Amino acid sequence: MSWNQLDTWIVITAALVSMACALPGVFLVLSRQSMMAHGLSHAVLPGIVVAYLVSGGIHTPTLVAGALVAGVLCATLTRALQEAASIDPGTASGISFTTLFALGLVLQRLFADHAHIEASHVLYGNLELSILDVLFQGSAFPAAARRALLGLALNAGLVLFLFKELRIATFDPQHAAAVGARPRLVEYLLVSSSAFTCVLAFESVGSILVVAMMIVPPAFASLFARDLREMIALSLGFGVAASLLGHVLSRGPLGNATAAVIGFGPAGSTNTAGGIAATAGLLLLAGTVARVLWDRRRPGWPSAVPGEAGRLPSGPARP
Amino acid sequence: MIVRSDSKGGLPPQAEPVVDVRRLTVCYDGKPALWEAGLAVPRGTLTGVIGPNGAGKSTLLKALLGLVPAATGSIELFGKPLKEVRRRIAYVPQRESVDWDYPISARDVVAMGLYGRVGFGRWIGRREKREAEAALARVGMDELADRRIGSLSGGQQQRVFLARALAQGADLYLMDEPFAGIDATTEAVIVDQMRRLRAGGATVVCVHHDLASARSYFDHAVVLNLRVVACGPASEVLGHDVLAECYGDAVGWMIDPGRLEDPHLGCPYGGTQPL
Amino acid sequence: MIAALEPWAAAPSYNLRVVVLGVATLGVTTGVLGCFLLFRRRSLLSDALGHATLPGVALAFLLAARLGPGGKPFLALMCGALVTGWIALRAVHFLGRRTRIREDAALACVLSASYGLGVVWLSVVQNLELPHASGLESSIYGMAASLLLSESVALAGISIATLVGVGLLFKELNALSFDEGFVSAHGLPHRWLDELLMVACLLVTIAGIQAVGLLLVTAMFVIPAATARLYARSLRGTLVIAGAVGAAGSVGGAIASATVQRLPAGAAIILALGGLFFLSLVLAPRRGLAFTKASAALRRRRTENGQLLRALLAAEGAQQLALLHEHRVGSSVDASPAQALRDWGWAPQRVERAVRRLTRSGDLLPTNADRVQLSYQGWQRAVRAERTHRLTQLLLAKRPDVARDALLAPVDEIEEIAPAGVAAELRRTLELQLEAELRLGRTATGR
Repeated sequence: MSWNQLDTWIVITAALVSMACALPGVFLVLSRQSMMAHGLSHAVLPGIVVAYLVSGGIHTPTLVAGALVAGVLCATLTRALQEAASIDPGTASGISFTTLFALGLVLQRLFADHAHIEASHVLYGNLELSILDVLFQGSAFPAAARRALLGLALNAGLVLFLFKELRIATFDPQHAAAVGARPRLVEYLLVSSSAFTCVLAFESVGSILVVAMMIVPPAFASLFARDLREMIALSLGFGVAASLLGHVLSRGPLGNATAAVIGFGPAGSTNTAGGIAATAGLLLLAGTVARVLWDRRRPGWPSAVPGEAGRLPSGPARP
Repeated sequence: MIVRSDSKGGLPPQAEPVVDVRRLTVCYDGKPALWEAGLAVPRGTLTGVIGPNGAGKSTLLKALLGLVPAATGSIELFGKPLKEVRRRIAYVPQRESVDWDYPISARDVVAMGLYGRVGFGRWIGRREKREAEAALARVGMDELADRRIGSLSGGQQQRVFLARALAQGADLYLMDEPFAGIDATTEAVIVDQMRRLRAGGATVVCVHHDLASARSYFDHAVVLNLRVVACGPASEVLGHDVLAECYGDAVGWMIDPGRLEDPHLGCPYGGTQPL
Repeated sequence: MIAALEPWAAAPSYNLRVVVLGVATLGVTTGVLGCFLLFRRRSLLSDALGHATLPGVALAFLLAARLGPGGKPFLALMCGALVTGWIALRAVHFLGRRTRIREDAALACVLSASYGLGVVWLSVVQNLELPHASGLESSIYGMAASLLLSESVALAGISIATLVGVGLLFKELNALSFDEGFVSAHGLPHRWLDELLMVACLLVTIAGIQAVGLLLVTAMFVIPAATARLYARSLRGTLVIAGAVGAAGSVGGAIASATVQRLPAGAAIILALGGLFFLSLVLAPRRGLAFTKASAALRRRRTENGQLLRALLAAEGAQQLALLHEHRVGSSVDASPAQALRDWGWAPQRVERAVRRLTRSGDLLPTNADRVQLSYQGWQRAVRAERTHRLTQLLLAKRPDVARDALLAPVDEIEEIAPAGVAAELRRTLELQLEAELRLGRTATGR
């Protein structure tokens, strides 16, 4: 199996998606909302079903629009629940995404059972298939890559335009409010744009890749970065590296190695999105071990272990 | 003379107070954290807000900044409502209120003080960075400007917070427990900077928990225990009777070492003592 | 309710009974364990661990095909799920505790990376074209509606074991979830305790996934605990309520799905749980939104009434006589409410609203233009409000220890916040104070 044009397009698309995701991902990680992307991959279902019921047919752009609405709704509901019930972002996300998904499922079974609409129309885009329009429709630039580029441009615009507001709102919301920097508005903007990016990317490359690329690169970057700009740059770089390495590994090595260890013959190429996610995880693990070893060799060096504030038992207000 | 909660605290009538709070009640979940508090802070003073834990000291600052809603009462700053004078106020929050693992350098934290001036959607420019460095120099931290804040000591972090407020160039500084858990150098720096601010005509309101040092740091004081117990010049207000009223009888051993022999200390609130 | 129970009572189908037994016991256990996860901001742990079982299942299938009989040996697949689930748990701990990465990011990283690995290994299974490979995923990820009796009994067993364990270790778990430092300082084996708790979560998660599916298990871990927190005051109460909510939601959802055609049981249970949560969010006493909003409005009105009455009383003058002897001197004094409230920071609309309210209740008599008089009833109320205010102030001054815990914003009688003996003493002190003020001829203004 030799490297061909399609492989290049797969890597480019994956890299663009991971960069588009990493930008809001950095701020999600910093404001402890990491589980949001994962929740969104479930929460879009009612949007899809309602869009189907309203439009009366499986017309993908309409379904995607419905999913977008549901995604933004889930993100804002999650944010609002944190305050209304004084719970942490993870719990809030858990409540809203499970409930929304169940709602979608019920709507589908009760009103659209015959239609066999599946969340997969929107959720399980396939990275390998998403770029085939280059081959069959002769487009110069695959639609999936174009969409990822759009997401990247939007998010880059948001981060460039509101860099200092995003930073102060995620670092010290109280001070932000005191100097009039509108932290709540900024946070709602952040979660909405994250939801938008996620759903756009779900449709073209699938939720596995999106969820992994939103959080793993920023988590990796937070181990090493001294500064928010460094963290963003490192996340972008990590996303590109993981995309390239992940695709190379899933063209053979990953599957073959597994099969060989167990005692089977070569297994051939495996799912690329899964491969990139797994590779990102392995890179993160390597980075973590490197960081911990580095800290051990250099006592007195700023430690990777969080300071007192981060170590306190971090429960929400107890009853 | 100690002027009590509802009138303007110990002011010569001609001086317009910088902070004028009347009958301020703030509730959390239906429980008052401040109860009909009235106080006035004259211009150009270092005012200490003194009181036991949970007396509403931080709540008072947050209410002044509009971070918690007031149930009743009025707040005027520079004779105007908060909205019109937000730019003229700098806030130094408690150190625990932020995430010190955040990837940000000391300089960038200080530059946050300038956000109000720079405006929504604009970038921090080179001029703001220089101002931030100048503010760091004033607290003796210029050499650590590039350090990640998580790698600084507690006292250094507090000085970064102070520098952020200084960079703002405000007329009123609200500081929440700046002296909690810091080293001697930082304490000296903060006191020195507060005095310089006063000399420059600014007003400082500072939440403080240590009675022993309060009299030497501040020239004006507000003694708080849900309500305002007393408000006025520090030398008059920080007397034994006011503090006894504020802390209950437990204050004896806090301000007067001679009372350590007192047999009643076993039960600081002495249930049998006459009211 | 009766109607909903009808199919249950009339034709208690065997299948429904099995489903209800299974999901109810699962609901109780996940509710209880979910509370401990909630305290540590780890509510979605079971979600992450659930996703991490996929690579284990795929690997176990590959191993079974190579070494064993092949096919889908249930026990081997479960063991595979357990092993990778446990590795994921270790990874979450390592990332969240030994590095700068926060717990929530650690969960998300472990979830997505391990799920990715699972997908990779599933495609290995596909590529090798092993027999019986189709439907591997769904064979391990169950559905609530198709619970077998054996599965229900197994669930009940695991649940009872977990609940007994929680009961036996309640004291230690209580300390652990409130103050980790305290537990280690007192030499309690908190690391092992924590480990035990998390492994219990892992076991329940895997058993639950197999029986009712991952999404339902996630919801069962998250929602009952969050609901219980809206009600409870103690850990014990939280656990009991969470267990009850978990059971109630599960049974309600299962019955609903048996009643309504085509209503999937898992989704119905989640919706029932979600419904309970949102209902509680609005209606829960003390912490529900309706309660807090309504009580805040009520409190505001009472405070405003009291303040306006007191301000008008002050405008009449001679408060000492009024408070001491119920003697009214200024009965014919007109006052402008806005003028009387000058010092209180009220917006004009607020003054108007309060005046209208008190006029309606007969406490104020409008005289001319925007001036008012206190009626006799209003005067009595004003005196009582002023007296209570002064007593509260005395209480705050003399017994801050009592007052700080007891104080409520508007109080009608001092006995509401002061113990009876103290209240009597306060009244005496107030009398002495008022008499002294009278003797000195001091006028108390602005109080």
